[in-house]
Amino acid sequence: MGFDGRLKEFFYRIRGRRNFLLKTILIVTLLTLSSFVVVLLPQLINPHILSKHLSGLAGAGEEISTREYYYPDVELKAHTNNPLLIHNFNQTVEQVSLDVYGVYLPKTLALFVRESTKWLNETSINPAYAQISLIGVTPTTYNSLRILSSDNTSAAGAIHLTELQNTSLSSYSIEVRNQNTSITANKVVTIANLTDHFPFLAHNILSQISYYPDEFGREAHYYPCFILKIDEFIAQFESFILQSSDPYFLQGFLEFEEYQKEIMAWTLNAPKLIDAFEKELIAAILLQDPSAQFLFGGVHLGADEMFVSIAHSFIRGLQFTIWAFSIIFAVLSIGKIQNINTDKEFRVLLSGKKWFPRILHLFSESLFLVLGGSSIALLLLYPLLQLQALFGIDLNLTKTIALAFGIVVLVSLSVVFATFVDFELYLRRVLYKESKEKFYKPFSKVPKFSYGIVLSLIFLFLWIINRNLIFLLTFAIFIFAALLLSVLATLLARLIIHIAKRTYRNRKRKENQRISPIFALLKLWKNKLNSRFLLYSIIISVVSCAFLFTNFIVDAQRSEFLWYNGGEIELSGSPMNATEISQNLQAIPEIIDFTEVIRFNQFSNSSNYYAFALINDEITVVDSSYQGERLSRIVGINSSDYFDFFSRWNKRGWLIQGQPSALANDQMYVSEKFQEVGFDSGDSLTMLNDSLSFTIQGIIDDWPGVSSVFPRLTVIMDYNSLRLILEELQFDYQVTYKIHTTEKDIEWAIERIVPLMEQYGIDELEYLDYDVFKNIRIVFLKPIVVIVQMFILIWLGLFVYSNIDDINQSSDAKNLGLLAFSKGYLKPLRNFKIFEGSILYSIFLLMLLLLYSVIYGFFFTVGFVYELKALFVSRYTWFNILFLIVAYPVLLTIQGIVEYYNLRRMNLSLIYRHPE
Amino acid sequence: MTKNQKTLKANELTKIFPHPSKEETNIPLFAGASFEMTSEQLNFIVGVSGSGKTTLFRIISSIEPMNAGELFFNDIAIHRLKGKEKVNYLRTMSFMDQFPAKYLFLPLTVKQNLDYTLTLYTSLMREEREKKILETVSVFDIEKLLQRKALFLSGGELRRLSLACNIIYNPTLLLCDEPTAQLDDDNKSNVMDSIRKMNELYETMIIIASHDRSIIANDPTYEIDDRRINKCL
Repeated sequence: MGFDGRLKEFFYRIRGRRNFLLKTILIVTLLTLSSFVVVLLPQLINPHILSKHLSGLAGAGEEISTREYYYPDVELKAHTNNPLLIHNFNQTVEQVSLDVYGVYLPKTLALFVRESTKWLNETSINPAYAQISLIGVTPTTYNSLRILSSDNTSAAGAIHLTELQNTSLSSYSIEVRNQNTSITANKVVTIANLTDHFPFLAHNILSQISYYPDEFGREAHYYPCFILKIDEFIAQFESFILQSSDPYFLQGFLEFEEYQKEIMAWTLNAPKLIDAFEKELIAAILLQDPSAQFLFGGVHLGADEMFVSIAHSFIRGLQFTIWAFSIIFAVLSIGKIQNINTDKEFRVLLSGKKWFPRILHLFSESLFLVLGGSSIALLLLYPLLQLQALFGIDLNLTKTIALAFGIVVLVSLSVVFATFVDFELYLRRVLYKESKEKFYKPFSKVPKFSYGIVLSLIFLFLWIINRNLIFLLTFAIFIFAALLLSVLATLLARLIIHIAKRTYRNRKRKENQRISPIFALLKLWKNKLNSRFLLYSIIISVVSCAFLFTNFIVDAQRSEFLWYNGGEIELSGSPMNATEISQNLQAIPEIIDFTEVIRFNQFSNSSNYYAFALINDEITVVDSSYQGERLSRIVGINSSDYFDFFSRWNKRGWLIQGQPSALANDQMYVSEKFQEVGFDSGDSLTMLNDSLSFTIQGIIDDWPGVSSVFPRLTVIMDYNSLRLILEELQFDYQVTYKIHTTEKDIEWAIERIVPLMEQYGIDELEYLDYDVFKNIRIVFLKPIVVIVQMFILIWLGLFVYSNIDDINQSSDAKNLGLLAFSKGYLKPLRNFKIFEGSILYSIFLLMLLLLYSVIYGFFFTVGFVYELKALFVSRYTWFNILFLIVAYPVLLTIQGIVEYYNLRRMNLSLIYRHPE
Repeated sequence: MTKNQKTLKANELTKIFPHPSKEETNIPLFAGASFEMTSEQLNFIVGVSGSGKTTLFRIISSIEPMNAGELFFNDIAIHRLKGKEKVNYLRTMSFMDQFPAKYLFLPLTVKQNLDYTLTLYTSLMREEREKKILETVSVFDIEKLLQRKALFLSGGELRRLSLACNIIYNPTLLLCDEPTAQLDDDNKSNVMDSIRKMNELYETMIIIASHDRSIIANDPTYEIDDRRINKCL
């Protein structure tokens, strides 16, 4: 047989197994489509999206405050002999940033060499100032400052940075490293001007030259300072510095553009990357000056590392679940289709095909199927991505994604090829080894423990790319829940059908009547129903678990805020206005209840500060000269109000010893640190030279708002007792109001409280930021929306799949045909479809009910730190549940109708009948 | 054409099936049957459903091991066949199933089905294959159906195509399981005519299992009754 024969054989094989190939290509399409979609999912939690939605996450509280901060993103302090490091610094940091983050977008880069010097002619400026700073900056920074001065034409010369508005240009005699010299300023920039125009630069330069006239004063003053371009600085002062043994002191402050900050803060493993960034940066600088000594101030970014990790865990969980199910589904389906071909393949194998050509053939067939399936999947993916605009979701095909798609195609190819080879092995087992296997079951000879090994390897791989314990736990719980629920739902469905059949059959038997065709069909379609139940259950449980997980995260975050703050709103005010504030709060209709708390730490005046300390087993007032440990906090609670306020919380973990109950004015709770120094529950503890004596009622473990994570000396006592002590000592303190309101009323309550802030001197107000929770839901729901659409596509694909075969060859038609001999099949078919749809829908409703009641039941009964109100179900969640409840029967109905009309087309005369 | 005679010889053939209830004794089948079939005539095995016709076919095909006795096809000891030897034996024989669609490629035409079989089992060149196909279709009276897809053939036509595919590469042994099942009398007669013609023209030894005694003429017939094989004609 020549080439023509081999070509013909290939052609016949393809053509002759058309349905098999069409079905397999469809399966591969669904596998690759779902894989492509899950590969795209991480785009929904990229750093920019997380930053946009979750930037208010830390504590979930929103503060109303007028203060502003200008922390640098990167702060570097170095002692070096090579001030020209400054010249290269931008290039160095750029290279490191690109290496670690793939991006370099500096907004402000302030680098300078600073020298502290002395005035020689002090009176010419201000006799009070004993020192000045000489700063060498990069040309860019110099030019930024120059434009603020009166003389901004000259591009060189020293800029005199001063607090005084009327400073005149002059030449000053100074002492640099014990040598006399002079400096001439040709430009003057006032600190106020600098702060107005370059707040970040001002903050970081001024922090180097600031001083406080008294130790406790709040208002900073500044030493005068001369700023020069780095070249001029070196030209003028290098000889002085080099003669001294001390090197230059180099400082750098870098602020990135928001885009880069988001990447740095909201990337998975951000702290590790920041460490890497720091190490690479130091290594790069050390290459230029090996003797340089560093103090890396670190990167100050306000992201929630744990939440980034949870978000990634969620996506990884979804990716793995869907990918794993897709692969399992693909393998089982291909195996099922192969079974139909077993006899034909035996015949082909018996024709004497050798291993290698056969494997080559299987590989080329797999390649053909995977390339075809992937191409169709890509074609389907494009409109699917376009469709996302309707849901406000932005998914893009990038170069990195193309690489991931390549991996998906390779994995799919491996899966299909491995299944084909496994089938080949089955055929050979039957032929050569007299295997008794009646049907082909994919990978039935692979030992069960190897599945565990594969799963562990995947787990390990995922852990390597995302080393996080929370991730592993979340991931495992998620998968476990999805699997358990799917199996549970399938068993439940089977049980319902079993009971229904039994009851019905018994009744019919008693009445001596014929069993209806519906029940005959149910019995005949048993296996089909099982796989359908399982498939639907998996889809529902994946989607429902994702919903639940979202709610859980939101509620956990909310509960954490409430744990630390006690109420939805917290504000602090002066005790002078306590009565008025209380009256006003009581008058606000949105406020359910509130309680007043004093949290005293220390009192400071212009000359000293005072706090409490435990000295000789007595709580005593100490001042700033005291070197020992002070009480970290004394909390005064209005006990009856307080316990009413926290009535819904589980208080089991609040104390190690004793019970949280109303405190008398001579009772207190103390932290565990007191126990370490010899106090115990029931002991008495004196205060202020034995003038007051308290009985210890219990030892604090985890009291809301009074963290005992760090071993500190903390005391909780009666509100009035503490108030009297503080007033007796004439210590100022603040009264904190913890306020309960419903989540929907927070905004209204705030609106009414804000006018009180000015009126009664309320400094700060913190409240539960509802938007944060809304945003968390958005972050989690977007992937679910994409996945639901993907499932709909898969559902459509499966429908096409089930209709590839000629209707008269399908087992459904055969079963119906059998019934049709005794009765017209259309009526039983219609009734059966309605019955089947109703069962599937009932199971779905039951599953939803089960899911929510189990989870919520757990919270209600066990509850750990939750209060019942924390289990608020938002309108978004209701909407999603409603969507599921409505969308699912729509799909079921469409499927039922289409299947009904499809089966109507069958030709009874063509349906198989047993020959004997 | 002078036929090169082939023989299937069984000595004390027994197959034992385990009883579904483990406490009961096992079920012996064929009870040490001895028979000899030759390729001169068609050989029939008859029996009611479940009597063991298909099991006997499976034993002859070496797919099902027997528990006692000997079975020879010419000089091949079927009862001793293992591994590659068994596969080599299987390659020389052919099996026509009672459901022809199981082995035929329905989306292919009659000609393509025959050509595919030839490309698999022979190394004939295109012209030779064409010639062989034309010869074969004339035997089975399906010349007019050459370009028709198997999917659109009637039950009888499908049987004849199946027979043609099974004989076209000259196997030494052909086992036909219920070749006339589901067919009306005309089609039954057409199929049987084709089989008889085939027996005359080809050197293949043909054994037919059927529950339908009406298709038997004056052919050697073995009946499986009460788990025993008896020669009745």
